[in-house]
Amino acid sequence: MSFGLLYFGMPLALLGLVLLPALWWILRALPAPFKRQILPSTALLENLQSTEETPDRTPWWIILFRALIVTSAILGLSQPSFSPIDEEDTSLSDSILIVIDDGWTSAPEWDRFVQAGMSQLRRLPTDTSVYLQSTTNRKDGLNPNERLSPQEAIQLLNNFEPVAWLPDRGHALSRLETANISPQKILWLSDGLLHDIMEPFQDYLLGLGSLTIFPILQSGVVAISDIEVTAQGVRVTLDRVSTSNEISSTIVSGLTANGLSVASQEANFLSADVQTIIEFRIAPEILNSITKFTVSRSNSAGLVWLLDSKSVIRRVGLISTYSEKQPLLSELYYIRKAIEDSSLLTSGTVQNLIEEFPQDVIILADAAQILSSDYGLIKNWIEEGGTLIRFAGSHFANSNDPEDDLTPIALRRTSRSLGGVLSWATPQLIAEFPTTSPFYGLEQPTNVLIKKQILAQPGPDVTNKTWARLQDGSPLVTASQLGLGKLILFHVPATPDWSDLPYSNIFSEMLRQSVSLSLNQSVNTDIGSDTLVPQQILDGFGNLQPPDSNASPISSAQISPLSPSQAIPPGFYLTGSKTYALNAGKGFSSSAIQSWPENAEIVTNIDRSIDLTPIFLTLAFILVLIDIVLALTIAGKFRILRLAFAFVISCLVLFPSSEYAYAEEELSKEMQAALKFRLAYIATGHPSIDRITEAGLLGLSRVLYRRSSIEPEYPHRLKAETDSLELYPLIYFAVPDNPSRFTKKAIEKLNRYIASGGALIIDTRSGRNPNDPLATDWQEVVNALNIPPLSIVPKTHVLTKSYYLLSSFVGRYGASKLWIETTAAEGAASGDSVSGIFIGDGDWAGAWAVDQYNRPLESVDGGEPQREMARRFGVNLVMYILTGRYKEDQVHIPTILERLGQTKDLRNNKEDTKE
Amino acid sequence: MIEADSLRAEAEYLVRQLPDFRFQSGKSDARHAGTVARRKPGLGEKFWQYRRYTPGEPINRIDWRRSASSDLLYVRDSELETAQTVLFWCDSSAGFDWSGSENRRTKADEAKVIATTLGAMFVSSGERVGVLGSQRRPSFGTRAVDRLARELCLSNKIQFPTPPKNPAFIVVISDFYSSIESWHKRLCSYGEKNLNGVLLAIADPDEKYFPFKGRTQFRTPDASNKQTIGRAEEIREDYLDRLDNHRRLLRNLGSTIGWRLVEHTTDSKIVSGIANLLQVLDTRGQKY
Repeated sequence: MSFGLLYFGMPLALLGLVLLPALWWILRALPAPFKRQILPSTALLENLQSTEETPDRTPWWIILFRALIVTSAILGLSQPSFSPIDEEDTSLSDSILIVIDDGWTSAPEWDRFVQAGMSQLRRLPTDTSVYLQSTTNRKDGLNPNERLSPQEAIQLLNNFEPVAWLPDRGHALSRLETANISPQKILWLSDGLLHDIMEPFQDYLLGLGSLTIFPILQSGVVAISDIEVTAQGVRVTLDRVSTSNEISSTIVSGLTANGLSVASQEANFLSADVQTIIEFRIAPEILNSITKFTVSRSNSAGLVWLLDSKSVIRRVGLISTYSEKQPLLSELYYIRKAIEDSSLLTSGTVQNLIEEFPQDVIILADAAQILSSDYGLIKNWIEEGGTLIRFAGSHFANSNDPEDDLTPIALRRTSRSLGGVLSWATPQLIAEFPTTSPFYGLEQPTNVLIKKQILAQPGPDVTNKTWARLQDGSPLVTASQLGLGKLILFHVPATPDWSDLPYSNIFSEMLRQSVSLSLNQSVNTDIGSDTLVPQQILDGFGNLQPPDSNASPISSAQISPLSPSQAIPPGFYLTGSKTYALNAGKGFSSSAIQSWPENAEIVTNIDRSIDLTPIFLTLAFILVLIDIVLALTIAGKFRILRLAFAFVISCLVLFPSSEYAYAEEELSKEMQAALKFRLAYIATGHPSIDRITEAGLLGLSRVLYRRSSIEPEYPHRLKAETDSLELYPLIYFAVPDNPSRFTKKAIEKLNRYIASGGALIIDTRSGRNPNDPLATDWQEVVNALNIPPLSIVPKTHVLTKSYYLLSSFVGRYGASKLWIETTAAEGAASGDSVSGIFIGDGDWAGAWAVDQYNRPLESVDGGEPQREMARRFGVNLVMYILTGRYKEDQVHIPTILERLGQTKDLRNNKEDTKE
Repeated sequence: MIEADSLRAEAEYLVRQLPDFRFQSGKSDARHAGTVARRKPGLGEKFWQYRRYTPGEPINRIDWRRSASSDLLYVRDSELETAQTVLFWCDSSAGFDWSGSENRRTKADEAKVIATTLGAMFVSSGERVGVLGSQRRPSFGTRAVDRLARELCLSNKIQFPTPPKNPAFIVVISDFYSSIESWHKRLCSYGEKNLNGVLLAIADPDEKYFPFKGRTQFRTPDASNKQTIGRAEEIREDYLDRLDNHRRLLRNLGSTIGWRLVEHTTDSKIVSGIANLLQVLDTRGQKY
């Protein structure tokens, strides 16, 4: 809808302007808001007035100001645009054909394309017939057979997007010919590139009617046309088209699957360059994580290069040895550790590795046995490009297989010992790497000693073939070319028997270097006859999308990497367990159209209309901000603003340190526990149980405080997983009815706690059901604990006399049983065998539990006398845990007293206690 | 709303922190504290008179020692001693059951705790306690505190009752924000009956210090009174003056009938509030 020079995308939003008078009314009618406050003494406020009341009318200029805000917001929402071309193109005729190049080459300028088409369409009278034609070969393309009204065409165009392959002008031409339309005017939105055919297409369009061309002037990088993965890194080939002769630079980045840029580099085009190559030096393990290379700020499928994993990873085969049971003695263990990050490891027999799972590198450890029949197989494989890495060793030295000629140089099949009882020589260090060696550049290790090695037969080529040598000049690593492949021999085994090498970082680096030098065979191997299942598909803008629901697996025969199309869109495909990437820009070679036909009109800027939407919306936003400041200033509340600002700042400052603050709080709890004795219990997650346990321990603490010299502080609640248990001499655990298992970490901590001398009291609280006292589900909970053999507390145990003389350990329930460690129960004479674990069913915490006014919380079977006995048991228990068995020393008291001449009294006493 | 049980528990907890208190029936009178002698024979500890035994009386009442000194039989009468009765009245209006902050108790709860604590103290020194205007008669003994606590919690909107028939000591706990005239009307009848008592005014800190700012609408909890103030901080001084004035009038009103006003704020320690009250009770009857 347009009013003169103004065009509104959403004219209905203008109806909102009707609301303006309503705003006027609302602002006038509503008094300023007030806080509500309840105050019973409100009566005292009667007839009080503060001197300054807010004016009951908003000043006129505020109303005007706010009306301005609303107006600009409404105008902004109605999507206005201002176009200086006022006249409708009545000169044109009643039919128009719009041709769009919708390949990925148009993607960077797609918005301009659509704008151009739209502004053309908008200016048409509504009865014009419009035909649309897209030049790529796609199913959902625009069909010139359809006759559309300008409005319909605008809608179609709005939702139209470029595809990730190139235009096919020949196909488009044939479709135009079959459509057989005769528009008077033709608008060609061209990507400015030649593509398959140019002249016939152009001529046909010229023949139809007056042709207007809206071309993109391609500049900058157009495509990543190839990527080559080499041992050193990646070579990226960038293409641009010939028109742009300026010097330009751009940045290419390697991205991981989650969009992280791990490598980026600047690419420069000199003035006449059409192509430039940049090299990345990327470590293999980093390269493995890269899934695509993109040109920064790109938005076209051609500027994205998907990297399939198999072009990067070297496949390394390990020939199995007999014993890998003792990992630290196995060679393969050291080899695996050295290169498992950077390569794909497989182990198997020689036949497996060569025939079934073709490998880039095969590593032959010293202990690996090769059948003599396999030598031929391996040799063939090396000659075709495989790399064999061998390790010497005692097996190698002792074998005298004449057919084994898989060594880079002739060897003496005996080992040479350096150092030791019968040797003059001392163990040798590794010398500086020769400049011809691929290891040159690696840091020379100063602490790796070689004690034993296999020596080479002296010969003229030994020096050339040596990659690393000892300081006395004898070779440590030798290599030779064999056919297309390589043979590499380490003169020591991969175990630390002969040398320190396997311990050292240099070992891993040397091995990696050797592996990365190998030929990458998988690039050359074809995909085979597998079917490819599309995984992720590129759209025209270079974004990865899930494939359409109608995307179907394709056979590898169909893939011809040079021309992706509707049937095989660029993207990731899955074949077997490997991914295969098809790239849009691969082999891109098209040049810009240099000369346009003379009788066609070339337009570079069709759409001269200015979109006013952002201007109005920004204006509205700024006005709102000003309004807020104004309102606050008027209300004299700038303080609030300052406070809010300070709050935001303090949040920003404080948030990062919140974790630290948490740690500090924990510390203070530990400090509390360390400084003052206190009882503790393990939180069960059942609030009611935890509450009673805490109240119980509080009650016991108070009893202890009053009756004994133990003065505990308030009990602590513990999480077995996180808290420092060792600070508490005694931890109480009341098993809930539906206990949840301890986590592994909690079990570990509890075991350590008990083992290091803590005391864990497990209260099953099952005493109310005496028939089944210790066979309930709580056992599962504590099963994982290291519980030593238990036995019922004997009648003469220290627990019965550590403070009070007790005959039973009643809790809330009449008949409570208490189990302790057997060793502690037997009263073993040795040491201080205090039981670390107490398991009982009395619900003692329930009996001890009191509220803040010292009123008992739970009922006890035997009433107050039994509660008292339960408390006494608690005192005895804590005494026993804290003081150990020293009361048992009282067995000596008769002797002592006898000397003092009081035997008689004591004996009487003793009999009394027994009764 | 505080529960009767915890009311009782907290009261006992507070009683332990407070000194013993005994009602003095009068400065010149050194009789057994906690009781008021009635100057006539009856139940009590002190000797009152010997009188002749009337046939029909239980024989065990005969004072044999006195009787042995003459031919007649005598009965020993002791002086009638009745306990002082203390009646509590806690305001139950919505405005009183209000607190300005989550962390503070409402004024009503504070009042109940104070009343129960006083009740527990009085009971232990032998007085009767009860709720003013209640159907139940004042009682003594350990159960009385329980009953008092329960009744205080029950008390629903009781209008300020008319004076009781029997003499009693009255403790009126409220915020006294109703007009002075209404309190005058209520308390005058008590003065006429010559009843003794004390007024305890409990205030929330918000009411006492008026910490409000900005444009605010104040209203009573039952929304019977609304006042909108443009800038609350400006009227703070006026408000505090009015509050002072109100309290002064109330104090004067009390002194006309011989009652004293004690003030307490819910953010101060409840023990000190009670101690203040006890001090006033202790000096009751003195000139001030």
